[in-house]
Amino acid sequence: MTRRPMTAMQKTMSLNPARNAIPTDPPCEAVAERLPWLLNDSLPEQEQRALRAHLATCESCRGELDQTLRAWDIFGQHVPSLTLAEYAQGLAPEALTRERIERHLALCPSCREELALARTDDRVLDFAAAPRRRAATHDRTGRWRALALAASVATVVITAVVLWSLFGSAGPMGPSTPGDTRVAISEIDAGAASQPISPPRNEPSLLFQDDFESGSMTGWSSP
Amino acid sequence: MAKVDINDEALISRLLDGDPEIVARIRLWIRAAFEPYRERLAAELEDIEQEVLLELTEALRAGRFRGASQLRTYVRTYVHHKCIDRLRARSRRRWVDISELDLPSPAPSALEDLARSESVELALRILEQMPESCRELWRMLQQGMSYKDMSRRLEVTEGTLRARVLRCRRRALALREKISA
Repeated sequence: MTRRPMTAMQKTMSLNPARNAIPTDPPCEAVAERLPWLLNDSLPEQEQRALRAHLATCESCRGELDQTLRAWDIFGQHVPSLTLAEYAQGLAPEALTRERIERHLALCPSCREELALARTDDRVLDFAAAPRRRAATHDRTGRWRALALAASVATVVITAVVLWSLFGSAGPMGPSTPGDTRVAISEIDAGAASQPISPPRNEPSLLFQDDFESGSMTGWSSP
Repeated sequence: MAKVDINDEALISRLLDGDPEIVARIRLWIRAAFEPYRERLAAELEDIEQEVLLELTEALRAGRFRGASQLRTYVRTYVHHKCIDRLRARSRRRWVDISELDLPSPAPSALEDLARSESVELALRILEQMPESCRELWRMLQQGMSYKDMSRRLEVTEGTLRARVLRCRRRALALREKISA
């Protein structure tokens, strides 16, 4: 394969940085240097045309293109996607040894990025499932609301009873209270009334009761 | 040799029978595995889902699932494999309109396929021995950067840049000859 020698004008043009644009009939050296950018499709239109025209008639430069394609394949090699996916899932990869994979990961940022994507799956699955679990729980509104409502009512009643036993027993009962409440109060053990008041635990706050009844989740944390 | 889990066996059997409940469950698994790629592959996910389901069914029918993992893991692995392939295909920019030139066809022959795993191993070995400067240059090339942008980023003249890339190409191919010999 014979390479076309550069003419004096071509030599001047290729060496002069001010005139970096490729001539219409480029020398082989200029063609060989530009082949990677021909492959990545980033050459300016004029240069592309000049290179293609040259390649069509120069066997030597077609050989250079073949070499550039081989180098492209080498530099573009990554851990095969299935092998990387197997490695990410903790499976025994079939195509390559773990050692080979890890050596490549140490020097390839894009494979590392892909591995990170393939490994986020477990955490994302849990997160993706959680809103559905909350939604499913929220969907069982009838039962859940009934339980929480019962707990709220019980809290109100107990609190009222305790407060009355502390402050209402020394004098008149004050304004008439609902009959149910009087019955509940009369059943209270005197000993229990003297116990210090402790705040209800794991019970819905009265402050959020309206929110709860309206269906809003605000302030209510899942058990 | 690993045996397919009995629950997975039942699932596979029902899937291959076309049980809509099982198909729906597999689709859920596939969509869950998509999540990390949703932003980058949004427009293609529906296609990928169909492809995965079809190829998965074929693989299960052909008995290629050997039970080394749970079926769900197998599905997840397959989805990642397809999504990574799609991402890589996007960044691959090749000037392939060279039909008038006498070059090897881009579509590999069966013979080339057989040699593929060996060539992967060989290429990875070559890459390990290349200097990081060469790997960096060719990474930028494969991302589609022009030589003007590369020379600006690396703060070298365009001529120097092109010469470096050419030297890296020759070095990689010489190494290939040496390792293959």
